[in-house]
Amino acid sequence: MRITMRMMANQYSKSLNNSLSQLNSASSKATNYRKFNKTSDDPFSASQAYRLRRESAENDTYQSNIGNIEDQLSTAQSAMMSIHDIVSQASTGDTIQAITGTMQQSDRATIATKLRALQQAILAPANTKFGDKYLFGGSDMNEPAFSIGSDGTSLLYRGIDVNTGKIEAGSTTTINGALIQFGKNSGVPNGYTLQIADSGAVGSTPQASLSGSTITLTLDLSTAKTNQDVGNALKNMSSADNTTGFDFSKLTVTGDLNCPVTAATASDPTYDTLTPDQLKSLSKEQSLVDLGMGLKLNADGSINTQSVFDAAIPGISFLGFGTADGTGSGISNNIYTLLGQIADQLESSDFSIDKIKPYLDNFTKQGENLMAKITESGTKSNFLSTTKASLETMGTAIIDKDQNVEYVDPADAIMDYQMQQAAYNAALQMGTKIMSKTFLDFMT
Amino acid sequence: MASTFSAYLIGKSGIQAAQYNLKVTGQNISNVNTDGYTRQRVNSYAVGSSGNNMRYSNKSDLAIGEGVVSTGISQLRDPYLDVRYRMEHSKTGETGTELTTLNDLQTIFDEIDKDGINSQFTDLVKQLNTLATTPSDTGLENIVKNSSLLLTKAFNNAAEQLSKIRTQQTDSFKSDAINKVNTLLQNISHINQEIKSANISETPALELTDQRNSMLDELSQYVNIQISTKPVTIGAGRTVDELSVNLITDDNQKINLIENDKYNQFDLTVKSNTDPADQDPVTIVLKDSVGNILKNGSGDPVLTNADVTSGSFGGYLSMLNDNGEFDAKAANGSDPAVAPTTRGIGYYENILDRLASEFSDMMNRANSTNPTTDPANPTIPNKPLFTTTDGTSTTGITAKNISISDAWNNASGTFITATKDETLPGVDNSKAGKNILYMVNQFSTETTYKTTEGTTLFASSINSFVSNISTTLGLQIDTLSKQNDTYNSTLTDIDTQRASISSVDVNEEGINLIMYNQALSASSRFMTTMDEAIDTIINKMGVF
Repeated sequence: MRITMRMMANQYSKSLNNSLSQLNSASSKATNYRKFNKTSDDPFSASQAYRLRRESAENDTYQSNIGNIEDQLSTAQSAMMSIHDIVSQASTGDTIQAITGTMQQSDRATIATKLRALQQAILAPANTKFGDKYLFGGSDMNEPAFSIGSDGTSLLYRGIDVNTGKIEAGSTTTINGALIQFGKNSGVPNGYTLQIADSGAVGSTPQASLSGSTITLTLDLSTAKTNQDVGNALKNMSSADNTTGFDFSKLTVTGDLNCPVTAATASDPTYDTLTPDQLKSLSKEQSLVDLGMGLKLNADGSINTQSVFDAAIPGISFLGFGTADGTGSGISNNIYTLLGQIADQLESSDFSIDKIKPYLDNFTKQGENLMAKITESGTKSNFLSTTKASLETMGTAIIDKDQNVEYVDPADAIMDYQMQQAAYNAALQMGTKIMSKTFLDFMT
Repeated sequence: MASTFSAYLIGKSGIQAAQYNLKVTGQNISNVNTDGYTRQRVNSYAVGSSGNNMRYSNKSDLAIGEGVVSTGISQLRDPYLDVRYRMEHSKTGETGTELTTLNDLQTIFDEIDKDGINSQFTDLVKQLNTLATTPSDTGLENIVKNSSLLLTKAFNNAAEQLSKIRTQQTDSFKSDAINKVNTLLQNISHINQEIKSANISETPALELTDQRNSMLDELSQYVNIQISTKPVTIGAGRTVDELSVNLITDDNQKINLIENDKYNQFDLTVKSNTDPADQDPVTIVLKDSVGNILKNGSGDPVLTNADVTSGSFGGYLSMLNDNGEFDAKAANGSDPAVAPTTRGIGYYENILDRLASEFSDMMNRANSTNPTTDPANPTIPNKPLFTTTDGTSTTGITAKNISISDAWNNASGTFITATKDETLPGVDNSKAGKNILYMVNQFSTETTYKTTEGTTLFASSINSFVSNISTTLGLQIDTLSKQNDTYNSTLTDIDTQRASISSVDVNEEGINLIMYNQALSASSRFMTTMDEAIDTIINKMGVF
């Protein structure tokens, strides 16, 4: 093939440019140690890198979730232990064990006083706070879980009497994702429903009327759009607009306050007492946390509880609820109430060992129940620490893999750069040798 | 006997031929670095003795030749290599243009060393997970709201950049490429005229031919052309060549661009808001030199978008008009399972819009409290988190208009529905948080995404959707760039072969200089010798 100087010059300049571009890429690798700077440089590794980064971020979230839950759980356990200490104290030789059939009135009074003091001591750990969260309120961690009712003696869990299931705030119903409690003296009977209707007139004042067992609230739905607005409308209604005969001034609305209301919205029937089954479901309330165990859904779309961690500790699950015989006035299953009932028995004028024995037996039984719950919580802590360790190992492994995919070994990168530089310098030196003399230089 | 002075003529022809050769060598050497210059050489042939077969010829005159005659100058060029070069050049034009557009797109979707929509999704999932553990914390919900706001802004930003790239490429097509080609068409037709008139007056016009070849090379980068010459009689038994340039379509149809001195011009119409929705975003048309659109017998334009498939024009049209899988329509008889066109800007616009609409739909449904009982008639979600820019509408959400809903923006207190399934009697358990875990789960659920016609796009989860787009784009660029490199290297090879035949070698010309110089001296020496010989005859013969 015929070769001309121009062809040689072109080829040389192309090869030099190639060498320079390789030098450029080697120098950029030697500065940021990345294997690739854009997806198109290496699409396969890039897709791996995206996935690994995502997994690493998820792992970080799980680790931080575990960190929070672990601390909460250990605080909860020490609170439960201190309640158990109180129970043990109540069962010792100079209190419950000292009860015999032949005690004197004054001895009984002493023991009763001690028991009532111990009873009071239970409340503080039962409302333990971690940071600004109350630990034993189930899913509601903003309010103290336990309180004393207006009669001064009954224990309320989230506003519900733990023995009778009676709701302190009176008539209650759920509507559109919110909980409406009409207030203690509202006068609303059970089984009534609240119905929302659109007045159709912009700016009209809300009106409440009664027909049969349906309370109808008519309001302007173009301005009053959410559950919060409904609650405010009822609460602030003047007596002229309220023809139902009920008092709504103490009404409270909680829950999904920003849910929009439509004209067809109607509430469930009102109630003011929980059945024992409903109390039981309160005690089994769950608060689910994703710890990377493979969050899954069931076929009906609900969360598969095996794939997440339940971090809720409803107070009544370890303090006990309801009564032994199911009636409102029977022997309580709740440790706090039991202590009070035992003290009442001791102080009553017709004290007999036979009458007090079922209370004492139930007290022992509930004490064992508390211990069982504490053990269960300990098992959960163990599980958390194993999970945490394995998450940490996995997290490190993911980061290592990501480093391997995205970064080069610094030693390799620098050596590569030196080699490219030497190659480039050699190519530069060849230039003058190639493009030197032609025939014309030798013509005389 | 031969005539006395005829030998002078032999010498004179030799000197003249040597002079021509030297001049042409000089021309070659001066143009050693001129782009597109083809080396020239003189065509000469020896003159035989004439008149031998005539009536009054003299047989004793040995039939000695009568010198050398130079008939003209020709170029050394292989026209077949030109054809191959132009074919290859149109391929490099196409891949080069597509690569430029796709690299621009990559700045939007690539997140290897910068943050974009993908990392915003990861952040949102992280915040939702944290919220799931304590949903009653309004501070945490504000963080989720902020993260969602940033995500909508990332979407809006990406959509705007996509639209900017489209505008830029359309402008570049219209103002740079089409104008350039039109100028080339005009110039080539002028040169055609000049070459033809030079040929009529029997001058070969080689420099003009070189210029025309360069322009044809440049034109081949933009469109796939075919060049043909046809001889035309100009009287007196002579013919000259006329050059015409045609555009070749995939099914070998020819659309005329230049016919000797007549030329057509390209133009581009951009789709406006009043055009029907299924019209291509840009349409190319062919007009004559005064501006009328060329139409065939049935009134349709002669040139359509489907005719221009390679060269830079083909690259632009494919990037601006093609939507990849979104173009598969069963109604057109195409198989909806197969992507009929390349993935241009339209594909990436559509797929980003798809992500915006799927994501917002998923979140809105997860948050709404009015479930759909009839899957064929889904209810409108009543607590939407994401809407179009008007703040309430949940249909027709695209990447450009996705925003936080007005209701969420203005809500005090919590707006995200934390619990949906069960209500615990007597207490407010709206904070239990299972619904938020459901939302988190939806991000990583894998679904198969299809176009409205049923073509499968890919199977992915929402949180890996953007990295899938990024990888698809990266693969497209990688493949295209390797193709481009291959075509370019083939082009260089062909050019090297061309240069090997046609370019000037200084060494060769230097040798030629010596050779022709010697020939000149030799002829001159011959003249001097003849002069002496005749001088002897004239001055010394028969003189005492």
